[in-house]
Amino acid sequence: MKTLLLLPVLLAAFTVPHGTDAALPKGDHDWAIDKGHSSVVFRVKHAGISNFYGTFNEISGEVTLDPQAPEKGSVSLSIPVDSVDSRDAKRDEHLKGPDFFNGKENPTITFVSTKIGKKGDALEVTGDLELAGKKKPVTMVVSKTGEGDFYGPRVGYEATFTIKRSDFGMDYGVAKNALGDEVTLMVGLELVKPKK
Amino acid sequence: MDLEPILNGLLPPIAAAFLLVSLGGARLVPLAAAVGLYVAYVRIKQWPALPTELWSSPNGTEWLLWSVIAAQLLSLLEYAKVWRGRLAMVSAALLGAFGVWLVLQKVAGRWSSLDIALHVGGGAVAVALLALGMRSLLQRARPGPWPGVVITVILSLDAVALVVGGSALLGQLCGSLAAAVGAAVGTTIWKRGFTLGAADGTWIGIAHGLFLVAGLHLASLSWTVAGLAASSLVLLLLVGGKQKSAA
Repeated sequence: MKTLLLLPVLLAAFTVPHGTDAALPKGDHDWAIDKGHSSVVFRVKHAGISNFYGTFNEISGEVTLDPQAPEKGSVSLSIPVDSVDSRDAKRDEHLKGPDFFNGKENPTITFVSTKIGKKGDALEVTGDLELAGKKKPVTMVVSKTGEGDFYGPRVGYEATFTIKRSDFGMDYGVAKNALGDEVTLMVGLELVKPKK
Repeated sequence: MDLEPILNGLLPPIAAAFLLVSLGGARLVPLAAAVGLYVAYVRIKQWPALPTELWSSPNGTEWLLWSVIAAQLLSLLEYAKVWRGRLAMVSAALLGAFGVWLVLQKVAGRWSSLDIALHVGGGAVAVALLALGMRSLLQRARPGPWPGVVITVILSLDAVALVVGGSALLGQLCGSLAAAVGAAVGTTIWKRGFTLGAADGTWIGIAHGLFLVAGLHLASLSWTVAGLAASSLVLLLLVGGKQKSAA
């Protein structure tokens, strides 16, 4: 019975629009990130044996995208290192520390696009990824996952790309392959129209 | 348990201490510890950025490495009698204080003025006092290997505290210093006359303080553990004796 009573609360959590950066962009092709329905997942090989998955529980940023002229668009994303979640508090502390993200010195991971082009039905987005205090260019293919109306117009995009963490000075455990050098990032964004 | 990452931090300082202290005596302990620390960092992580690069792109852990190496060079200069007496004491205190600013430079950029005054100012005073205190205690310690044994214990405790405080890297680097001193003490098996002087107090006191400051502000070392670890230098009172010459 208690479970049934909780059901409306759970449904509301998934259906009601969550926090956005709606106050930021205001143009026709500007979008804000629906933080509650956007995800950042990372995958890294543990000891050369299994794929380990973790998440960053927060993401914010701005997207400007005209489907007819994507080259005029821009993407800027910001992820707080403090939001890393590996389902183990001690491990999260270790990840945030100087061995990995060095989060007290570099509290945010940022991506700022420098070039957007078409690649078939998808978009090819190139930009600067700043991680652990080091900035490197990365390119990713961004696919549209859907669009529609749900408490206002929405559009979804997804990108999966792989980086070498040693390129960003995060090389702890790489030499002995305790934790893989290659990290795959999966970013799913649900974009909403900003409030005017 | 995979021992290789631990050995990467321990073997370079042990080899450097055995070689250099056997050849040149205890006055080369700072050099052995510097070589061991640098090689350990490269083996564990990567080539560190040079101080010239760190000015424009600061990294607290790498500033920590260079600050400790600078303190070790200061100790060597004192053993070489280039740097002596009050000048050695003042430069030890100043380098310790400056090292705190270097290590916290980037993280302090987001602090309020009050936090900067408390953590950078307070840390600078604390590390300067630790350097001077370590010099004084080593100067008063009984000649022989026992002060070296106590220093090995103190630096090992720091290393364990840093690992528990969320950074295996800081723990391994501090452990490399403990290994260098421990191996240097080990040379007494085949070479007599080993003793640490006040000059060693400069680099050991600065390293002791700076590693704990880094653990507090770059990792998750708790204030209680840091305070207990910092005060462990009183263990040197156990091997106290008459005052001897500075270097």
